[in-house]
Formats: sequence, C-alpha cells, structure tokens
Amino acid sequence: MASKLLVCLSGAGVSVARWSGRLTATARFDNDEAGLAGFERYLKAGGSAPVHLMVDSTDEDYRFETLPHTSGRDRRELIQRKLRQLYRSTPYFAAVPQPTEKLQKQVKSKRRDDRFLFAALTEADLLTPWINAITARRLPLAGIYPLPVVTAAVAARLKLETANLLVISKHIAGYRQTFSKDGRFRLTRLTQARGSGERTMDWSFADEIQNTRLYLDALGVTQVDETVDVLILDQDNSLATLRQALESKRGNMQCQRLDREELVLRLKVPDAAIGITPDALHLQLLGAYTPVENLAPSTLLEPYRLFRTRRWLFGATAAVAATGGIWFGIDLQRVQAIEDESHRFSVEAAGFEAQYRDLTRQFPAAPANSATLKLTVDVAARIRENVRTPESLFVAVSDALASSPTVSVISLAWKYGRYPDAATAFAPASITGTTTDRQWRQVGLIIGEITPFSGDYRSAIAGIREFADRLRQSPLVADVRIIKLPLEASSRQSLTGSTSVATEQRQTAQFEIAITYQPQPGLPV
Amino acid sequence: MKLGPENIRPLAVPGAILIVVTALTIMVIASAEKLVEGRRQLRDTIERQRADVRQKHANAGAEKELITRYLGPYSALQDAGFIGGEQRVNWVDSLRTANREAHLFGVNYDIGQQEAYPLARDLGAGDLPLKQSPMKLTLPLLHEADLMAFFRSLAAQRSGMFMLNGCNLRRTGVTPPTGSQANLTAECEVAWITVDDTQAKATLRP
Repeated sequence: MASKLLVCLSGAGVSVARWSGRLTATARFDNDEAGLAGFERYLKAGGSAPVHLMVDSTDEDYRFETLPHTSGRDRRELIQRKLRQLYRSTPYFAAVPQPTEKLQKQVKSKRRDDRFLFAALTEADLLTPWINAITARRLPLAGIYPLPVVTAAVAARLKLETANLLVISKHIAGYRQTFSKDGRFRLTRLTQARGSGERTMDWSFADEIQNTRLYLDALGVTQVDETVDVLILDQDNSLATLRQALESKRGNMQCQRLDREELVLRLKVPDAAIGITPDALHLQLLGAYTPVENLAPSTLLEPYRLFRTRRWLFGATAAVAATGGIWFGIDLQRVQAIEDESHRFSVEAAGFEAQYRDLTRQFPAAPANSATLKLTVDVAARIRENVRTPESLFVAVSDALASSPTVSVISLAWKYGRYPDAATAFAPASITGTTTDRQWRQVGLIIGEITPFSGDYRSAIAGIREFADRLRQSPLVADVRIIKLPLEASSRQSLTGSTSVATEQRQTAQFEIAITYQPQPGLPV
Repeated sequence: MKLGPENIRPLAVPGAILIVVTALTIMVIASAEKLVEGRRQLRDTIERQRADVRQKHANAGAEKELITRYLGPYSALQDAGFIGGEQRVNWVDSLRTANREAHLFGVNYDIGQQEAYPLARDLGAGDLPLKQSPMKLTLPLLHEADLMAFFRSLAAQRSGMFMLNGCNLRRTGVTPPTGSQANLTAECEVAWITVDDTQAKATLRP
C-alpha cells in the first residue's frame, strides 16, 4: 500500500500521522510558531511520502450549482469562469460534478443541465505557513480536502446504507455536523465549543442538531416525515448525553453513537492515536479514502504529478523486470521439460536401436541394407527394360526403301533419351537430358538423295514425300517431318540455280527427314 | 503537466532505468525464446530419429524378407559389374569378343571420364549413386544389321550394363558393296552405367 503523510489542519492546531495501511507516528501541534517549528521537525524526521492535507475550518464554502450541459474545452472554461466569479480571494477551490439523475427526471422536458458542487476554503492565510513548510521540504502535496468530505466517507467504511445521514463529530475546532444524502456530501456546520459544562454543552448542541434538521427540511433536502439517521462519532466518550438529548427531541431522527472502543474496533483507528488527537478518526478515514473534492491549485500539485510519474516509471520498471523474470523462469522450465523429453526420446531410440541390432544379427549377411538392395535391383531392372537400339528405325527405313527405289540413304542418325522431338534432338546445341520434357523417345534423322536425278525437282520432291508417307505407316512413329528438300520452294528464302544441262547433271536431290517415335512407355519413373 | 527541464530532470533517471531494464528484459526474453526454440528443434530431431528407428525395428521382419529376396539378384548384379567401380578391362574384352562374334572389321573405342548419370532420376534411382562412363564407338560395317548383332553380342558378355544413347550411320564405301570391304561407318555413343557401392553404403545407410 502506498504510504502517505496525513495532515489535519484547523485554526486550533495541526494533527499529523503517517499512513501505510494504518496510522503511525501520530502527533499534534498547536497553530503557533512553536507548533509550526514542531511540524517542520516532524516533516524533517523522515520520508518523502505525498502529503494529503485535510482542513477543518469554518472558513469554507459549499454550494451546489446547476450549469448548462457542456463538454470538453467549453465545459472547462465555463467551470473556471464560475469558480473565478465565486472565489476571488482564495486559490483553494474546486468544482466536483454531481450525479444528475434525479434532476433530469424532474426537468425531463427541459434542456440538459450539469450539477456541480463548488467548494472552497475561503481563508487562505490559515494554510499558507503549513503549505510553505511542506513545499520547503520538497514534499509532494497530493491534495487539500475539506474535512466534511472526508467525514462523508464514514458511511461507506461502516457499510451504512441510509439515504439521510447526519454525522456528528468532535474536533479540535469544535463540533461538526456533516449531512450526506445517498452517500454524497451535502451540507456541513461547525459549532465551536465554548463556555459551559459538558452536559449543558450536549443539550445545547442537541438544539443545534435539531435546527440543522429543520434547515434540511427547509432546503427541501429532506422531507418532514423522512427519518434522518444521526451517527455520533464519540472518540473521547464525551457525547453520551448528546444521544439522550437528541432522542428526547423530534422522533424522526434515529440516533446511533459509536464510542471510542467501537471506533477502534470497527474503523481500525489506533487507540493510541485517538489519545493523541481527536482528529485521529478523520486521519484514519483520509488514509483509507482519497476524496475527489481536491481544492489544491494546479501549481501546488506539480511536484505530486512528478512524484506519481516517477513512481509510475519505477513501477513500470519493476513490472517489466518481473515480467522478464517470470518469462525467463517459464522458458527455463520449458527448456527443462523439452530436455527431459529429448532424453526420454534418446533413451527410447537407443532401446529400439539395440533391439533392432539384435534382430539384424539373425539377418543374412548382406553387402548393403535392404532398401539399397531393393533399389539397386529395381533400377537395374528398369535400365534393362528401357534399353533401346536403332533396330526399329532400321526396320522402318528398310520397309520404306523397299517401295521407294529412287531413294538412297546417305546417312542415318538415331538417338534415345529425353527429347521432345527429332528436330530438337538433332539441333547443334542438343545435349542429352537437358530438356525439361521428361519423356524418353527415340528420334531419327535420315539424310538421303534421289537417284538418278536429272533436274526434275517436281518428281524428286514427290518421291521424297511418298517415302515420308511410308515411314509414317509404322505404328511406333509419332511424327515424320521433312526438314530439307532438294529445292527450297518457300517464299521466305531466296532461290538460285541454273537449268543448263551441264549444271543439272552435276546437281543432286538431297533431302533430310526427321522421325520422332512415340514416347517410351514406363519412363520416366 | 508541462514538460520543462525542471520536470524532465527528476524523470531522467527512472526513465533511463526503465529503458535499460526494458531493453535487458527484451534481450533476456529473446535469448530464452531462442534457447527454447533450439532445444525444441533438437527434441524434434531426436523424436524423428526415434520414430525412424522404431519404424525400422517394426519393419525388421519385412527387412529380413527383403534381404533374403534381393540378396541373390544384387549379388548377380555385382558379378555382372553393375555394382562397384568401372570394369574397363572387362568392357574392352567384351568389345573384342563382340567384334569377333559379329564378324566386324574392328571397333575403335574412346572411354570418357566417369560422371554422375544425368538421367538417374528418370529411372527412379533416388539416392542411389548411379554413374555413367561414356564410351564412343566407331565401327566399320558391311550392313546395318551387323550393328545390331554387335550390340546383342556385347550385351551377352554380361560385363556391365549399358544404355545406347545414339548412333550415326553413314555411307562411306562403294556401291554396290563387296563382301570384303566396309561401306558403312557407325559411330555410337554408349553409357556404361554402374552403382558406386562405396557411396551407396554411405548415403543409404539404414
């Protein structure tokens, strides 16, 4: 729990305590130079915890105001303007938005309005020396709160579920009545204790409370027939007769008194602290609960904002380091678990390996493992199955030549491999196995001539075409293509020659035919 | 809050600490994650090895059956020169024998350097290290049928396994041919295919 330095300031003096889940080092100083010096020594004694300052003074002002609904910058400007109008002489003021549900129900047909509590401490001089002492020590001032808003928190601490609660408490400054409606602060009155004896005082104060009750009815905050719960916080057991006095008055007030023992028990206020200062109860409430009604000006809160930012940075650092540590720890556990698993797998693998070795001792002696044996034998069978020779080409050419007596073969080329077709296979740059076509084929290239040739290209070409047609009749042949004729009749190429008898007798009618066989069944594998 | 120098100064140290701690934390986490990933990969590898050896153990019976079944044919292939190093002497002897049996005029040969067989994948050889020793043959022939007789005789020698990659026959002699003079020349390219058993044992170890 974050530590705090709690200060309750009144015209009569100052009560201080440190808070770290409970009150400690409670002390009280009078509102004079000696008290201020003691307060400065107290601050010097240690700690840099943020200071929460609670002020118990009659110089206070509370008013509920309804303003037109605005938002954002307009809302801020409207509130600041209103605050400047209301409180010209003090820097300690604030506007706190209030719930508007009931108000909206009442004025459903009208425009939407916002309701605020405007609160201020109108006598700044009371605070100045004490705040100077705090700022001189460079302590971060977290907030300045009027005491009644702290008092209102007692209902929540005691888990009191009552609509109208009037809390009576006794302070250095006097008796204070704090009324809260539906758990929210509405009104407070401070009556200074003067003169007469304790019993007479109680009866007199009971009249004050009766007057407050009537005032609430007059304001319309309560109805005449509504019951108001009165809670007497009697930390020094001095208000026993007040309860009797109240109960003898109007009947629509239910009175409950918590004496010192009950306060110690139920609100966990240290008994010793109550003995030191009557503000101990409120210091305890302020330690446990931070009111929203913070009247400190923004300039005074700067050091506290820095303090919070520094604390946030340190907190974030700790969180990051803790996250890293936890992450690292989890990862180490994961590594350990993985290594355990790996070790288990290794042991199991070794076990299987040992068993396998035992079994392999019964195997026939082999030069290689079974997979290699099988693969080698299978590949050898595949090679045998796919060996090809040019015999089929020779047969096809011989058959065609038998019916084409004028055709004479000059050369015959045959290839077997991964070729898309014969033209590609016999191209100058062709290398076996370079094509992406994985079909294995036999391809052939016949270079031949027409003999005898007397210059009659027409009949020579016809003979070549007939020869090609005969080659095509073989069922193994996929394609037969004449790639060169004795006379290039294409319009795309130039053609030169002579029809003189002497020249024609020297000319030959050579041709080239490419044969592509059907793809090799069974390959590729 | 306005961030002036007087505000930044008190925040500098905690801010720097946060940055340093965050950077260190990121480094630590990254290292730890890397460590975990490394161990996980190692674990996966060991797990795969365990699965492999378990599978091998489970298949031991089938493996024994395979060895029994394929050991004979494998040994025959070893004897035939398909498995092991090049059998150049045997190949040359076989050429001589085939030449004699086919009644040819002699065979010129040129054996190239052994190399990986480029079409091994087409034969489904997988990781089996298939090698080829390219051999160029030049044969004078009387008739193209002699070429077939020569290769049949060469295959019958069982001195290795070969694939015929290509042949080129061209007419060289006089027409009409005489019985004592070659009128055709055949140039053929043969690939003697072998399995490098030393490499096979290394790459195909169980």
